[in-house]
Amino acid sequence: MSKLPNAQTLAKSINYAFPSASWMDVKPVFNPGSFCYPAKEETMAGLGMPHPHTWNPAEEDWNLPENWEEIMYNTLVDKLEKFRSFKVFMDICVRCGACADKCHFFLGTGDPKNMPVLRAELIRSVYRRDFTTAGKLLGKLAGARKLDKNVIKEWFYYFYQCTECRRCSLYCPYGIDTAEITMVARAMLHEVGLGTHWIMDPVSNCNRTGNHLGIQPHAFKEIVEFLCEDIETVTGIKINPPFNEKGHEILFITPSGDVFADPGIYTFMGYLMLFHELGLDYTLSTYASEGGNFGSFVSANMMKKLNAKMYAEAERLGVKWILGGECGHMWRVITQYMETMNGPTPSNMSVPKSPITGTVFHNAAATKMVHITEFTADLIKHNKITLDPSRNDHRIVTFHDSCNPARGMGLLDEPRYVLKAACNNFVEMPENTIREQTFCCGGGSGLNTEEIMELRMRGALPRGNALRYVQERHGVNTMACICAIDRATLPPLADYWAPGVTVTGTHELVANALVMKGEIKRTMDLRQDDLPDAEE
Amino acid sequence: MSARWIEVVHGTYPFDTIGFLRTKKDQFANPVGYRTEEAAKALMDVVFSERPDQEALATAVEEIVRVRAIQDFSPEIAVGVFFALKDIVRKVLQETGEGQEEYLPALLALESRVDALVLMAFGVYARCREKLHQLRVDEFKRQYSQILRLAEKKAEKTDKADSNN
Ligand code: SF4
Ligand code: SF4
Repeated sequence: MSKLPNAQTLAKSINYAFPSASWMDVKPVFNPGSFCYPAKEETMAGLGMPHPHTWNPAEEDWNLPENWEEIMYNTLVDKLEKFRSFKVFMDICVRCGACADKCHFFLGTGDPKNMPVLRAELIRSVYRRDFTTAGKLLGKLAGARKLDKNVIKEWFYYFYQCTECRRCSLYCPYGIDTAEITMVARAMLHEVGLGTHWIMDPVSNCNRTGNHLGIQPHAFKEIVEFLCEDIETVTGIKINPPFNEKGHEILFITPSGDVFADPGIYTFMGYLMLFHELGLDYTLSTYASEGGNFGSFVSANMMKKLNAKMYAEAERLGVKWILGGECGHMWRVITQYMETMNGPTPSNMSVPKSPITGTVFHNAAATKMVHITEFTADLIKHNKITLDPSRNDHRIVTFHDSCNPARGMGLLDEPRYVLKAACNNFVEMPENTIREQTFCCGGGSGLNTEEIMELRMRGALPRGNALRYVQERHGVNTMACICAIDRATLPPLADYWAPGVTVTGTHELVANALVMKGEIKRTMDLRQDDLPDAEE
Repeated sequence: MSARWIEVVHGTYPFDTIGFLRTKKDQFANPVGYRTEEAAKALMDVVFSERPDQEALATAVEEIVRVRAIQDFSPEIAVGVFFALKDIVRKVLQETGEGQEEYLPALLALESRVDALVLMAFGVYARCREKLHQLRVDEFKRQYSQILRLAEKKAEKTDKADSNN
């Protein structure tokens, strides 16, 4: 058994243990809990990814292909040519440090290489050596270094400790977007066969069956039917949602997590109840049964491939536009990349117009896809639904801005507007932790896997810290969000950093408050928990 | 004394991080630095007051250990920072040159207090680590909740069919 050091040795060891070695000389240690499991060889082969092979991050030898250096060099040249922004980001950083302390992973780990500026420097130092004159001449003095196997390991370690949340870019005077640098770095690692299981498995499933878990259409339908039974138990209303039906006006797509996982299912029930109450002309699809796009965490091509099925299905079913559920990165892909990748939209589609209020969503003219909180906010604004917020009176609610909708598409006010209509008690978290400045949940961009729970809790500290504050100060007991990954990652975050706070989707709260025609008196909420004043 | 202890805690982080921990004052922009300072305040209470405020102390210890429990520290370093308090007090006494004897009873009492404090921290640490594992299990259950439900229903159906035969 190891024995505790005595106070003196300890104090000494802590005081003097960390000489200021240059960051280039400090190598990452692959401790369990801080790295993701590698993708399986057969998964990678099945997807046609380059150099599928078996390897283990904790081992010394990663079995890289023999000509890995050449591959990496050529890929770097290719990425520099293809992505203008990447080339610019490589050149213009002045190392002012404005971004340094803005990353949740830096704040939570205290590891300087999680400062966005240093994260980018991991790749920039290599770029500098081969692509800048100063670097070629001066080498390390000009911050340049040679690409070796340890550098590859370092990239894998730190580019999978970036959730591509873009908080850092908000503070950079040049708008350098470290998230895009991470995307390129991950794509480069894929060229030598390095990927993670948690990302590649869903990609492969989604590619085959249409959703991340690889659930077959009939099982998907059966699960939705259970959820409808639950809705009937709570409201007395029977709903039969249409599947794969042609000739409807709208196709509804949401992340599959809303169908398969707690607490997303309550949000999914919320969507169905709202559509039923409106008599909306829509269909679900078992083919496009995944709004999420783990391809976006792999490469531009994979993202494009998985995204394309939304339009393909919209075309096949002949719908006019797509209504999208509460998701994070799905919206980043839609807002920032969909039109360029897979546009123009099929000819049967038109600029989305709410059939209930007549509002035309000009912001979605290019993608033909509307976010459900925009849709619902518009309904509330036009008094088209009746809400009884007092049913949520036992909840003191705060709102977590998911990085992608907040920073990626500027969706800040609609969810708040909807929540305030559905709940009487709404409290904001501190100003420097919400809206554009929101802190990540710590598990975005494919890092929401359980083997790195420890790392996730580090990244979750800044958000958890702000949540804890409003919990103690204002008695907040519910955190709402509009992202399926958040609905998976925030429950452990809350459990660890602010135990007692429940995580909900926004439409779960809407549906709890929604007064429906022909419903029985509500005595419980969608989770089938008794409502506080139900006894009277 | 408080500053010295904070220095010890900061010293457990890489060199390039310490400046940030020390200088940034906002509690949301620098949660680790803030929690460390809060803990330092509570510790000074342990050293100087006749009857330290137990509740405030428990909260402060809990808040800082909850952070250290999931950071990349060995358990000894995560919790051991509280032991440093003994060392700091002894050093300060030496430096002030006061007669050690006069302070001996107080010093011994303080050492016991610090031991109790470390035990408290150890308890929090152990609970946090246990929680971490529980989070993984709970997450798994949430992730597959409806698939499990589907499987259960199927099993029920087969059971029924079997018993009807
Ligand atoms: S994008 Fe987010 S996770 Fe990545 S470096 Fe920037 S702040 Fe950190
Ligand atoms: S804020 Fe921008 S320019 Fe400044 S160090 Fe960070 S990335 Fe470089």
